[in-house]
Amino acid sequence: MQKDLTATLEYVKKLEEIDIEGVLPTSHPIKTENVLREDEPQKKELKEINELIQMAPKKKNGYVKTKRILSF
Amino acid sequence: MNKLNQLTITQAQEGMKKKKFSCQELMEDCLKRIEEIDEKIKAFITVCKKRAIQEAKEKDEIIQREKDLEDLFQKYPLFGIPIAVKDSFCTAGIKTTAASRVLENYIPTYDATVVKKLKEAGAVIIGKTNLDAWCHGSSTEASDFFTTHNPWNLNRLPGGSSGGSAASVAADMVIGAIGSETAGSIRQPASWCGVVGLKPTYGRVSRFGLIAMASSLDCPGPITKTVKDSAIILQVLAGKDEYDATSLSNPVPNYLEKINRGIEGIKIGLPKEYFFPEVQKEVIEKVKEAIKVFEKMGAEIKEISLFDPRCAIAVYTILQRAEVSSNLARYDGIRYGREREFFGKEAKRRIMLGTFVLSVGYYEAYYLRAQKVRTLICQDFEKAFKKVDVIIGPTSPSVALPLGASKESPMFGEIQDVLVEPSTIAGLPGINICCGFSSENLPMGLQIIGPQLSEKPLLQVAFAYQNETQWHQRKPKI
Repeated sequence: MQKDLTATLEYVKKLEEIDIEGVLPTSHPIKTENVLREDEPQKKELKEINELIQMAPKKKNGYVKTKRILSF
Repeated sequence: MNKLNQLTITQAQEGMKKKKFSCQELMEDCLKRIEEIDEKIKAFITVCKKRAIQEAKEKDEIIQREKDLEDLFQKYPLFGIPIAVKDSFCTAGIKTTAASRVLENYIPTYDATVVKKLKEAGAVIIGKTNLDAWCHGSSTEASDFFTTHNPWNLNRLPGGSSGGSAASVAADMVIGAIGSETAGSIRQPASWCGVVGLKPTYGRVSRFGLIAMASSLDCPGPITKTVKDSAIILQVLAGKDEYDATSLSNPVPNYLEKINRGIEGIKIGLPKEYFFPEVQKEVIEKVKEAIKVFEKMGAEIKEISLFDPRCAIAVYTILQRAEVSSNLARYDGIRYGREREFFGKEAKRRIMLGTFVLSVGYYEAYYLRAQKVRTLICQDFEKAFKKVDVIIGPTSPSVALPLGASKESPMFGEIQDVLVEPSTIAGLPGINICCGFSSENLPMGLQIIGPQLSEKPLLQVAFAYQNETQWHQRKPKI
């Protein structure tokens, strides 16, 4: 794994040869504007909610159960 | 008469409209073909046999009831058509795995927008096709389950990541299929399997419900037997979706209208950098022969120069790994799916490299630099499209490679996709069509690339070539 990662990083070094002086970065290929909509909760059927909770590997009383993530 | 599974969308619709056969018969022929040969090809992860037959029967009832069939098939352009969907698209009630162990038992509660639109247009989902796990690869060998085999030669790879979809179409197991491309995942398997693969402009088709690989590049698209079928499916899929903020609101043209207008006067650019020495000789020869066909049909051919496509490999590798590391973070095994230790080797490699290039101290050297070169690649195409209407080159540097080929390099996929990465980085549309066969009877593909939102002219150019050459009539013997 380590060897593979090193080989990949070696490969991408090619980019160092390219002159990027004054070039702006592109994070997105298409010029789009920010799209906003009202932050309104969508009502879901109880059936769908139950289906979603059923998917969780561990659950209790209709809640998804996880390991403790904070300690006091 | 042919077996019904061999039909194109247009032919199948014509037949159902004239009541030459029923939707159920069409479905059964496809399912029979799958039963007969998918043991060898292994294109499908899930076949929805019962469901598909049930839905076909329902379609037949509608056909029996409906008085104006012309109107019905116009309103529902995929009415009764069996379509295979890559297993990276969420399908409500149907297992969706992305060919990964993590999602091996995941059954979504909702449909991806692409799937929803297919169903609304009357299509029947016949099954879910194999891919490289999480779309990470160009061979299907990185699937966590099994490798798909190329219908033209079972000892060869189908390409990937949409290898299952391409193989299912090439082997006539379905009438059409859906793939997704991040860089080459539609065009390259279409090339290796000798079918039509269209990667639309980024944002033209909604990504909602497509299990994300690299979100600034991912793009769903059709894999079909003919160019016309590709236009029919794109027409159904294209458009704004409120669930995908990056989907484009530009009006969707009628892709079928004047698809046969011909290519008289169209300026075709031939980038000399796309014919580098590592591209197989036979591939170069066939693409050059194809250029003569285009010329004969009235196109003007111009040699142009583009950024060395090999630079795009480096840009793509960095951006894609970075986006992958971020996208795969959501699979925590808490709400659904398995825990992270079930990620395969390739996914782990990508997560690690992506995290590395985004980390403090390396961000500028890798990620930011790659984004800047991305700008240069985009500008380079913009410049080229001031001189020419479309660009043509080989799709893949080789014909389908033997099984096992992907194991040789951790960069296998990137190197295979060298000729499609630059256009994908710039969000451009591209279409692969078959341009002949090698001495070993393996299909070869050429790609036509256009400026953003130029799907219509691309389809016209591809249609003209396919009509002239008829390579698509050739079928693999399995």
